[in-house]
Amino acid sequence: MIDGFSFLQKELIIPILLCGLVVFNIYVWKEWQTKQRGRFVVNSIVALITILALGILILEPTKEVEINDSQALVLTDNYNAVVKDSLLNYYKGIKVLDYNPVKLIRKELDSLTNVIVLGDGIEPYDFYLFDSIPTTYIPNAAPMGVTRLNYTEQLVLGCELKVSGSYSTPIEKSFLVLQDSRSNGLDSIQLIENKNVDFNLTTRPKVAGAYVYQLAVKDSVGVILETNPIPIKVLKKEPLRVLILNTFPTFETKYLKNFLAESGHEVIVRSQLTKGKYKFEYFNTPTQPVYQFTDVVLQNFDIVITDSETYMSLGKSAKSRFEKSIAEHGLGLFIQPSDFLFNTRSSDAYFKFKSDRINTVILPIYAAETEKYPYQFDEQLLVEPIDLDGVSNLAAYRQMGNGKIATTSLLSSYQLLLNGKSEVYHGVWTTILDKIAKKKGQAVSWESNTKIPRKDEPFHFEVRTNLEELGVINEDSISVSLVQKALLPSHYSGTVYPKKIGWNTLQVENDSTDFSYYVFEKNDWKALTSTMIIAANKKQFANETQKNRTVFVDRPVSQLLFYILFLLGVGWLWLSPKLAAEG
Amino acid sequence: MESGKLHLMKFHRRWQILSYAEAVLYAVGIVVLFYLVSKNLWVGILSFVVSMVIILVIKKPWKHSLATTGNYIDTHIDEASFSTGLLLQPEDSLSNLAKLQRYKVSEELTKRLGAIQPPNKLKQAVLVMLGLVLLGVVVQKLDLFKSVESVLRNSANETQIQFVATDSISDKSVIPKIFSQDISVTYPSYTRKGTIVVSNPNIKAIAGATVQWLLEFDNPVQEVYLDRMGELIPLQKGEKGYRIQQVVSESGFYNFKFKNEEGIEFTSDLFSLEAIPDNPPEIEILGLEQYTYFDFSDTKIVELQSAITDDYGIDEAYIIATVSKGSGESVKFREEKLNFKETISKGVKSVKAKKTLDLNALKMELGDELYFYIEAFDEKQPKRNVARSETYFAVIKDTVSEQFGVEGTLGVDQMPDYFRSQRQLIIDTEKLIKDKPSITSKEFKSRSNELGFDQKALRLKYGQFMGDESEMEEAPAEIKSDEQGEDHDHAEDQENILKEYSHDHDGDNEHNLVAAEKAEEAEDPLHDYLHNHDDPEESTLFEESLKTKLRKALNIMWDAELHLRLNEPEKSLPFQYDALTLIQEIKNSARIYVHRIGFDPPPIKEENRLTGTIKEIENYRKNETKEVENPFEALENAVARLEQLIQQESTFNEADNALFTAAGNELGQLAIVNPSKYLQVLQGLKRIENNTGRTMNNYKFVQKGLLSALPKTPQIPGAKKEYIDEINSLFLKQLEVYD
Repeated sequence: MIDGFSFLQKELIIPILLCGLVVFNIYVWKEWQTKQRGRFVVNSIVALITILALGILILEPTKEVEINDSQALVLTDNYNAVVKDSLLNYYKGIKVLDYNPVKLIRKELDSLTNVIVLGDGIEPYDFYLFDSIPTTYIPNAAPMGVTRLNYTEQLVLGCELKVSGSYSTPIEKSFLVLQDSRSNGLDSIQLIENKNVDFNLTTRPKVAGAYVYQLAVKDSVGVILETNPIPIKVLKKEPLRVLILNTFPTFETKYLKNFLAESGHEVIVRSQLTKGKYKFEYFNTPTQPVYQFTDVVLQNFDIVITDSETYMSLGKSAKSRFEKSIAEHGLGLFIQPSDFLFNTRSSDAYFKFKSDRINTVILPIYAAETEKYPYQFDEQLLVEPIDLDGVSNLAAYRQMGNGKIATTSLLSSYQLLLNGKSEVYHGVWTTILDKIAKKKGQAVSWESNTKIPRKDEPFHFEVRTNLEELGVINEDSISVSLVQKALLPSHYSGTVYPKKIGWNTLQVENDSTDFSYYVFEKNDWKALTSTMIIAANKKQFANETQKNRTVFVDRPVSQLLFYILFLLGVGWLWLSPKLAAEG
Repeated sequence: MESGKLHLMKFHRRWQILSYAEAVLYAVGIVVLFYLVSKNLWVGILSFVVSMVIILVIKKPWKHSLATTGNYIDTHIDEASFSTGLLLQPEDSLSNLAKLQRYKVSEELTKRLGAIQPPNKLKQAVLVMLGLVLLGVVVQKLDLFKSVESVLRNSANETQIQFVATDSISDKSVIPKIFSQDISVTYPSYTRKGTIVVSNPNIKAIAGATVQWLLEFDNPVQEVYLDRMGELIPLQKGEKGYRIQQVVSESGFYNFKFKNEEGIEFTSDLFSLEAIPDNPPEIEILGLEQYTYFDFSDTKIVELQSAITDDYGIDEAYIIATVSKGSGESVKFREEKLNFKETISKGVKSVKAKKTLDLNALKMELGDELYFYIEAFDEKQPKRNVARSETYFAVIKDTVSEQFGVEGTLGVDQMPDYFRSQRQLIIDTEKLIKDKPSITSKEFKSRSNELGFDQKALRLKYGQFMGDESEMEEAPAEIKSDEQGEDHDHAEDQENILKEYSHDHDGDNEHNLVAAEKAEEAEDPLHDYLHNHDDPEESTLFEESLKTKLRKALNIMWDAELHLRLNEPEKSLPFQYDALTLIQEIKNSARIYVHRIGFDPPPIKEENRLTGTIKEIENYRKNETKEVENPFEALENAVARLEQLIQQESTFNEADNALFTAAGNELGQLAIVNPSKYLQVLQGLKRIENNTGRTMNNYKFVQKGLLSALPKTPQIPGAKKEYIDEINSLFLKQLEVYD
């Protein structure tokens, strides 16, 4: 029974005890002196009780009580006042707690047997607070604004920035405008109906660097209602080293080689003149004839472009060296099509084709018509189509290890160039070659696990690396502790709490590779954040057992008894010398 | 005059003066208020005048008359006993009692009038004035109208050329300011616009205009230059300041540079100088189809209505009409310049001009076509702008059209058309024979004779092929005499025509006259090397057999002609038929037929095929480095750098100066085409460069401008950096196993 007791003023126990002892001793000594022997014992006992009662009055004893009906309503952002009022009405005496991520409510929660969360919900990083409490979540309706968002956070110059998502309950006829960092409009969509609208905005950034694009909502007359930042990083493409092998010169090769050379790539063209004699052309690179395809030679190139005749007539060992380079070093091989390619039925052909008897194709985006071989790619396991301006069966690549082999069924694509449609020609070849180009190695890859990082809130990230030792430091050169994954030693994860709004960087120690992430302001992407929190809360609190937990609470014991004891004691001690004097 | 009246008048004057003083006080209050608020003396003076007038109109102090003054005194001085009026009346007209009263009042007023004041609100006026002054001071102290004022000032300042030091250290030194700037644009005289003084240094003027800047500085300056797109032109120092004249020939930018006495360089903002081209006149032809067709019976009139406009004035406009006659090779053109009905006065900006084109007046016949267009000139100097309208067509339809054809089998059409005439002669002769009974003998003879002449003409023409140029001499004398005049004319005509087409070998001035004379005597040694068209026997036009045939035909024609001249067409007819047969033969023999054959290559020996030696074929090498031209590299770098500056990741450093200068040059290239669009961005860039605009707002503004100025990113393939994950590689490897 005594286990359940404790004192509210625990820290006072020792001083009170000491004081009580002193007072008692003084009393006993004084009583001894007055020699009222007859009542000495009785008085001493009464005094002890009185002092104890006084001590207890000061210490405020409590008793642990089992309760199971203590409820609380946790109000989070954007809660519905009507729902709150009816809940308060229904659950009489329910406690109301205001949730604020900055202020801890742990203490209040400890004494509760169950909790109702109203509003957008609890921040996911605060879920642990509710781990032991049965929680009911009454979700908010989807907020107005952008509720889903995907965009290319990092892209290379020349690639498209795609921003897609959905907008819930927009104002009719308002516009969603994608703007660059200085609010030049780039792409827009008019939200015609006032229900959920999926949007898809694209643009090609003009300059490399880290920029904060904007997604603005404007009403029908162009007044900005809301803007939200879209931080993107635009990297520069690096020049390629290309080897072109031809059995005879063709116009296709001539124009392709010119295009590549003029864009600053290092190009070596080898076209056969006759047996054992070649014509070598070197662009932007020193003279270095290529006769044998050894591993070392192939390793020098990012892309090898060859006509099908050359490649098919290679010896077995040369071919296997090619394949090894592709699979291990990620070399890209492009086979220029010819009837020969489409008609080989050999088992080691990389692509299978079927005849479709269509000789022309229209590239829809540019509305350019061009010739093609009357074949299309057959479906194969490792063969993936390459989307050329929205037409997906014109080119395909085959994944081989880390590298790719590609070909196309386009015929005489240089005619696009001659017809003045150089944009289409460049677009087609950029798409194909970008797909297969050897990736330049990078020691570290970063990944953000927090979709919308905010100031003073945890930002989770993941690092993959092939470095033996990895240390990450933040902007103030303070080391960030990382968790290495047990099964995948090259994977690490970590958490930081960004201190400023805007671009923040993390850096690999003793290395120049850094990773910048954008920390949003409090009011950015409100609807999106709400939606995400609502979803997380729904998930978190969906399968909770709804049974109330039992909580032990220290309740103060009524102090009246000790007070009466004290009064009686003091009264007796006052009365007793008087009685003794009379008697 | 008695003193009473004198006093009365004094009092009256005092009243008036006080009223005026009141008005002045109010006005002064308003002036001070306005002056303090506007800080402009002129506004103050204007408000003084205006308020003064208003108050005076309200108060009308001049309306106080002596009578009203008298009334006032009557009501305010008991002693006046309502008799002040008596003072104003002439003494003589009063009764004795009145005179007495008048005297009394006069005495009283002399005493009393000094004691009373005319009614006035002077105190109130002083208070209002003080109140207004106080209000003005308060307003000035609190700068309540600061924003209004700044707007006012700015509008004034925007057009004032401002200078900043290029060196930021020199802030302390005195910046010379322009206290007077005169920019005048002198338009070319033909525009009739004269000289316009503009206040905005961003100048738009017609190409060819002369702009003159006259700058006066408040402090001495030196080396004042006009920087026009990198070209430094010094300003001439004159009495009144610095002066420069420039002709606007193309769009661009300019700014001024100078040094102060301490040698610190100052530069002004960048201003645009936009050359607006003088557009050529615009011509509109109203309500006319491009093609108009007329039948022969129609009234062949084209009503041409046109509207011609020009931006500065039309100099001249007219119609160019071309009549074409005939078709094919024989087409002939006649061009005429027609003026409009209205005379077009020079310098008119727009004119409606009309013209009625009468095709008959243009002597057009069936099948003829008229092409016409309007040509208009403006007055631009030195070279006028020309505009041409579209060409319009008017055609008189020809009911019978001749088809021109070339015989398909003939490579060269050697045959002149004259050969047809023999057949025609036969037809005509047969017709004459048939008509003989129905026509008079005279007509019969005449027609026969005519046919004879035609026959002769034909013979002569054939004779040309034979080289018979002096055929006339061979003609029989009697025929010659018969038709002398006519024949001679014609023959001479023929000769004249021939002269144009033939070498005049037998003329007087033969090119090798002396040699020829010698040769005639001594068996011409050049004989084998010359074409000698003189001698019919030597003519090389036809081969030998043809010549005899043709000679035969000519002889037969002689006979045919003879009988025709003798009015015996029946006898002539057989000769004519003979001649026709011969001519037909000649015609056919002149046709050349070429047999078509393919190419038969010489046979190749099978055993030698594909055995050529390739020893001499060498490897071929070609090495080339192509410069990647990115005309906007600096612009791109500047945008990226500005983003860093905006995000406050770093501060402006020296290297940036070069970058922004380069970016400015690149943008300048873009801006030449469209100066007004990029001017402000360019100015912003300059301000970043010379350290007067290194502010966040300017960074943002410039970056925005640069971003919109940059063209689309070209599509270029390239390598991306990517981390190659072991796990992914393993996964890909495993995938291949199942392929």
